[in-house]
Amino acid sequence: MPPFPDDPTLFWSIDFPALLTGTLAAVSCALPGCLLVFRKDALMADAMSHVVLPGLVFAFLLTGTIAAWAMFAGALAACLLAAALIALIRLVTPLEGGAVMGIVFTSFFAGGVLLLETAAGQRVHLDTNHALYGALELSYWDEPGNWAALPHSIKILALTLSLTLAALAAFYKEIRLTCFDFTYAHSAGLRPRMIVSGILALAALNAVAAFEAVGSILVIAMFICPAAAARLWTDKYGLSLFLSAAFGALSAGLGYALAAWFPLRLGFDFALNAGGMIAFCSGMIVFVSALCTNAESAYKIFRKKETAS
Amino acid sequence: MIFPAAGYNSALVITTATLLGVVCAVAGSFLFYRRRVMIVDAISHGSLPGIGAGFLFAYALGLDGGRNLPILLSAAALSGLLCAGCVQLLSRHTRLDENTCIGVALSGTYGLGVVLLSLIQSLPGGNRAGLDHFLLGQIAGLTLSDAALIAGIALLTLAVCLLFYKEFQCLCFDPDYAQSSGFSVRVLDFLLISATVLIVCAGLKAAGAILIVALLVIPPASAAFWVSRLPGQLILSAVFGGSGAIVGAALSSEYADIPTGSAIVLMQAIPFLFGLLFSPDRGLPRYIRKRSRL
Repeated sequence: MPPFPDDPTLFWSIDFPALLTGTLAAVSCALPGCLLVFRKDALMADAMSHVVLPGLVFAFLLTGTIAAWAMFAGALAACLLAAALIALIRLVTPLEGGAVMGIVFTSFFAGGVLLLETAAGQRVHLDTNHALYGALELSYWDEPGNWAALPHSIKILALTLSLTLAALAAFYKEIRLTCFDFTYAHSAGLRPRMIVSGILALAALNAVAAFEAVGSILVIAMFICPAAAARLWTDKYGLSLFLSAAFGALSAGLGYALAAWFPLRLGFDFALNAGGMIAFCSGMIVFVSALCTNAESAYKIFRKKETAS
Repeated sequence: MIFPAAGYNSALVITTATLLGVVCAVAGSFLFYRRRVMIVDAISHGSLPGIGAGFLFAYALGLDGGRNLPILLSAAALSGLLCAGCVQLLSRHTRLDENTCIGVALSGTYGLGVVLLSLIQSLPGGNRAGLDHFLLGQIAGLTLSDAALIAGIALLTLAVCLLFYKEFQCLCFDPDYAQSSGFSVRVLDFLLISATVLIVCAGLKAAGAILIVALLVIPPASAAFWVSRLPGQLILSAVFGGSGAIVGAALSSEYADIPTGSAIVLMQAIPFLFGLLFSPDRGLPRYIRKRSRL
């Protein structure tokens, strides 16, 4: 079996849609992720990607269909509900933020799995493996060249990405001030609480759209890793957004190439899970960034070990 | 009703789950007061590549078709510890806050784990059935030797927590004092994390990588609504953790399609909800009092 790149029709019908889905999902998650990392709220991405599953199950039980709109609405509602609940518990109790997120998302997730296995289990066509590992490889372009026939998930991702870009452009200054100096934003009359809610809503929208296409693992990775890498390289707000989008796209391309083509090039006849490989690549990008931007301190650790031995 | 004239297997499952619930709650209490419970999420996701690598190792040696629990768990512990080490390294030497570092480490290692599982899937005769239980948790078919292994690890963790009770207490409430009175905060942190890694790996099969964090955070948080001294906190959270685990495991062995991990987490969430709504000093009543005074 020849490697895919050598065969143009296979490339356009299998690899191109997968690459496009991965890149769009990566960029559209990296942008709100950047804001979450600025606000030191990165684990919100972890929480949101896990509450999508219960949202899907609940929407199915409520409407009885697995139509795309019902699934989307259910997942979005679950994300917003979880975010609101987390904010509420943090307001009411003195508990630490991370602990509150851990409590809320695990309870939601446990409820979702329970519903899935008991009430809905027999009838619903919801594959937990698919939801957790992602199914980037399943996107398929029937008629290469006909843009209207592109997979549904790509269109949704393109739509949410443009919405995200529009929102970021429209509230550019407001969001920047809220992320960097909440108190000042408040005293300047900007209503930072509303803006934070807006950021979380934007994050939820992108998480749900990306989850549908690539699964929970990639959502967490693309929210946090590109933004963390960008945070290491620069202090500037605009540049951070740009860099995290770029790192997201880079890890999507690199990860897909390593998962889908690399084993074939080596002569094996299987492909690895692309979503997982993209997530791993994004983690490695952070690690390499940390080494490059902290060369001095990395050198010190190395020296200390050398002198100690 | 809940306790039928339980079959031998149900009794085994319920006993193991209860022990896990108690020990997770105790270890979780220290992490809770150290304010870094979410590192558990990094450890549990970070153990996934270890599960994959352990399977490949055992498969290569021809042991039980790769499904050898001691090997799987020790590999999981090693990679969980490495993942926690990455979090430590990133948060100490870069400007990223600890939660971001946790997110980076957990998604990167989880991704690697998924890649390894897909590699296992494509092996001749390789089948990841059974390994999926480490993600979502299911202990219905626990064998006696597996149960003994899990119980042994849990008791070891409990012993570490009780042996270093004073040191951990100092670490949680006044790390500066701990440092100045001759303990190394780094070493104590390492010890606490190692104990956590042990109990997380023991609990992986029962609760799954995604839900195990709940067993370590929900009972301590529920107990903290009612007590503010460490001994009381440990006892109450062990009671909450243990009772949630008993009821959850019993429900799941009574009704076959209820997954164990989910049932335990939901049962443990009940005391949390109760505390949130009714605790006079740290729950909703306090907030209402504060608002009405303003």
